[in-house]
Amino acid sequence: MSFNLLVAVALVYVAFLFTVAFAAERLAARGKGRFLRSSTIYTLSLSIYCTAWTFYGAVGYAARSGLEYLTIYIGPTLVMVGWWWLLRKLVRIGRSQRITSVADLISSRFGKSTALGVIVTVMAVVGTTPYIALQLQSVTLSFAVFAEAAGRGWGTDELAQAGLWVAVGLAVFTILFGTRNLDANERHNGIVMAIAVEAVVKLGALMAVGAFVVWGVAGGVGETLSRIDASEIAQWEQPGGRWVALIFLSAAAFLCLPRMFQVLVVENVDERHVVMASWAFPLYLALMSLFVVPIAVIGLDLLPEGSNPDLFVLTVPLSQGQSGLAMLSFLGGFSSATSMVIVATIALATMVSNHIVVPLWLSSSGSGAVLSGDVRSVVVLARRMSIGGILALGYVYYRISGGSAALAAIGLISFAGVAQFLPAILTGLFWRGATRSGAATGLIIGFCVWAWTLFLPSFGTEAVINQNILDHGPFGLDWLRPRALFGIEGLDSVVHALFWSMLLNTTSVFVVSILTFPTPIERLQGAQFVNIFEHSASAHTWTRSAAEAEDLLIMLQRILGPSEAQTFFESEAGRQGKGGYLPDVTPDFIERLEKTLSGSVGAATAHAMVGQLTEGASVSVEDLIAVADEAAQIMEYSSKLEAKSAEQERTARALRQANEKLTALSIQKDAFLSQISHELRTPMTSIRSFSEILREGGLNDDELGKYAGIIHHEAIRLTRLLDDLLDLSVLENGQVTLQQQRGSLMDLLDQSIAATGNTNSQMQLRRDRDIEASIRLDTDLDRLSQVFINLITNAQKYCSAEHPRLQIIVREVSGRQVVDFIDNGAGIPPDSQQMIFEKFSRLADHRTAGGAGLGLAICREIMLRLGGKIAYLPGQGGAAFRVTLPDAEALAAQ
Amino acid sequence: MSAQSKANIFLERSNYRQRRLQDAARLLPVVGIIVVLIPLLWSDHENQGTSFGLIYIFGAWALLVIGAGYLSRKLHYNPQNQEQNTLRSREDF
Repeated sequence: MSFNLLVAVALVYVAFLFTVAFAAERLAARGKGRFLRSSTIYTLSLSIYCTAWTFYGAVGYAARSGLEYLTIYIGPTLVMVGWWWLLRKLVRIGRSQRITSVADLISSRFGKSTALGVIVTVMAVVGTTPYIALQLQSVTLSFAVFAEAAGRGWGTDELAQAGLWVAVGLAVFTILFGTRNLDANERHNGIVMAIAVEAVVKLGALMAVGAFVVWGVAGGVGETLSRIDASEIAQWEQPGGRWVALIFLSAAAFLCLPRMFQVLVVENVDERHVVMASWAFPLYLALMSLFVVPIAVIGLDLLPEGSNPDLFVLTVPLSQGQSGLAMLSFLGGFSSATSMVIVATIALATMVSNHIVVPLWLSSSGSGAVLSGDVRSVVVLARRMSIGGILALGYVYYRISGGSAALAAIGLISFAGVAQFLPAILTGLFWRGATRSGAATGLIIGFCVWAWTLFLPSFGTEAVINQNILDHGPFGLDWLRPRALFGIEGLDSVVHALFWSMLLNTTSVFVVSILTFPTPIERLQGAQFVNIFEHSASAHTWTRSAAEAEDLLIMLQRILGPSEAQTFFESEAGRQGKGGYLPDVTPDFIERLEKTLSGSVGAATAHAMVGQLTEGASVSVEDLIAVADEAAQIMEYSSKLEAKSAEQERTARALRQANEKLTALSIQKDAFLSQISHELRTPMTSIRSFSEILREGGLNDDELGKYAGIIHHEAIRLTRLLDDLLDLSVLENGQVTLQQQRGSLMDLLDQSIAATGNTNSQMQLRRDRDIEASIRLDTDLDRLSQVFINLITNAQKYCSAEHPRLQIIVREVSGRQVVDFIDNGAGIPPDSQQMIFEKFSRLADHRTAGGAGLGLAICREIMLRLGGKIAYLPGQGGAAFRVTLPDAEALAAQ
Repeated sequence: MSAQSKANIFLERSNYRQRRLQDAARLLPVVGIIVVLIPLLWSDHENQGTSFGLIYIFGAWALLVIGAGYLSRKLHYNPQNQEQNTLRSREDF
């Protein structure tokens, strides 16, 4: 069979794959993609777990170590059968949180942390690159087998060149079908379809070779079994540690490998597909591994010593002249290798662009997601460059690493590297106490232990870890020997590395998580993830809508492309019952927008972008707490303000009252002044006019006497008025000095009556002198006398009765001694009873009385100063005044 | 009334059945782990032959596949169904 035919067949096959992918994408774009996403396709897509390492390498593994190769398939079987425990939750979370990769899962769970995303991405790239190199090597070796069979041996140069061609071809295919659209869900319909086709091809190829070997060569099942028993691997000596460790390792890798996560979780469209895959995929795995041992055994029998058992799948049919079968087998191997590389590269490129490139670009561009340029083109460019870069790395690793023996071990090493994600994933999914610091610590420690014990030693003793370090540890530290940490020797290197890395990783996750306190958003995400089955998927509790819908549409168009963004917006608007493309910016809408966006650029970046645009429109718990603090501060401030304003009101009221008083006083003063001037003017007018008359002369003695008498009289009146004014002023200002004297009331009244000059003919006085004599006074008697004189004089002047009579009655009222002066006149009308104590108030025409109207005002002031009272006493028939005598203490207090 | 209670019993039975199937789904991987670890007990035993090991492993594998297949058929798994939305089963009785 000519080598060129093989190449031609390979190219046709590749073209066929292109067609399938293209058709699938076209159908999906037209909306008919439903049938493409059946559970069968889902199950078949999981087959990328079986790479060239398992297609070729399993046979080699079996030929060397018996049944141990089964561990690589048993692990995933257990995970699939146990879907109720783990996969169900993983897929549910992946779909509701729009998780786009392993890095996104871990980053999102632990508070949408960019740092964790970076760590996981780097670890994934480091762990996966050797595996890609392994695939390249497998493909080139398979080409070499056919070249050799056709007579042209291939040297390293040809192998390298073939490897280059394969790498470039894969890059083209991946870029073409992996980055043409940015699907919001990160789903790649074309690729998945191509993978499903390849799954069928590789299963068919392997089973064909197996069937050929069992029935064609051996002659039936029984014969096959007996040949197995007769072969080198008849005895199955299985080290128990490796058996368990490798089952655990393959199970862990099944979940953590970026490519597996991509097809298991990200590409999943319906949770129910998992249920079918739970039995269908283990079946697939069983069929893939069924014929491995027969092929190995027959190969060991038929082929010469020293032939590479890894390639038995090709060489056995070739040796039997089955070139068609060999070509089919070649295509199977080719499929396994290429499907793995395509999906792994896409998964890695997604992680690199979402978690490293875009955050870097966003933070460097500063002003935000909308203003500086086209995010979508950045994302697409980043993805394409990542794809190219990762394949280039893989190719370089392939060139540097040299022999196939070194590469075969890389499969397990790669598994162990990605298995370091497992503690972070499992604790994140099931334990709300897991924190970001814990996860980061675990990841870093696990990575370091893995690198030290497994990855670096794999480069050979000429590279980083030389023999000296292997034997004696770095810097002579015995307990840090890469193959015997802490002095525990004799363990198989993979088991040893797995044990220590998992132990230290898990322990640090637990310890650091317990010791650290998560941020609010970590706790929110923790509750969402761990309790995914009990919650709805609503992350945000409170929003303000600051962004215009149009701004958001612009941003989304830049990421997803105009048509998809507009479709989303239109459906959102329709959901709100509006027409057109611009829905109201409600909290629900923002949440859905962020979810949609996170499908393209990862949850952390989407959150940052939406947050930037809407200025925190979707408020996180963190923001809520800050707002609550603010609200408390504001309430405190406003209550302070209220208190202040109440105080100010009181002050204003007091000021108003004072103002009123002052105004009243001012009016009073004006009134007083006008009164005074009036009072002064009246006698002055008389004095002046009569003086003029006197000056004119020509008066007789009688007239002279009369007029002089009038002048004198008025002058006296004037003087009296001025005296009274002065007295009142002195009293009011409190400048009066009071002389404390003792005496009896009777004596005082005698004096006062005598001073008034009253005779019985003018006004009859009724008194009870005995009672008066019994009252002892200890006060300013002169002033008190002044009051009595005034009252008696008033009664004399104003009593209108025909036979005026004044009663002076001494009583005790409410514990105080009072003296009542009651006349038998007309009394004072009720509305004037208060007014009479005011200055200048007179009730009748005063010219006849001759007073100024200050008398009662003075009495009131005097009584006030002495600590007594004077008041009008109504209901006595005539005018009645009650003088309340001061207590002895009252005067003392003056 | 008897028809009503019969209907109730039927409904309850199907619910109960579903719950037991869910329990079986939880149990199956545990059985799988145990089965897969049994070969560890065979060191220094007669049954160390590769062919025997092959038969044993693939036999167990087939049983797991059939078990999972049966469960996937009978379990009317509906992600929208709140009753199934828990890792722990919630029984009323």
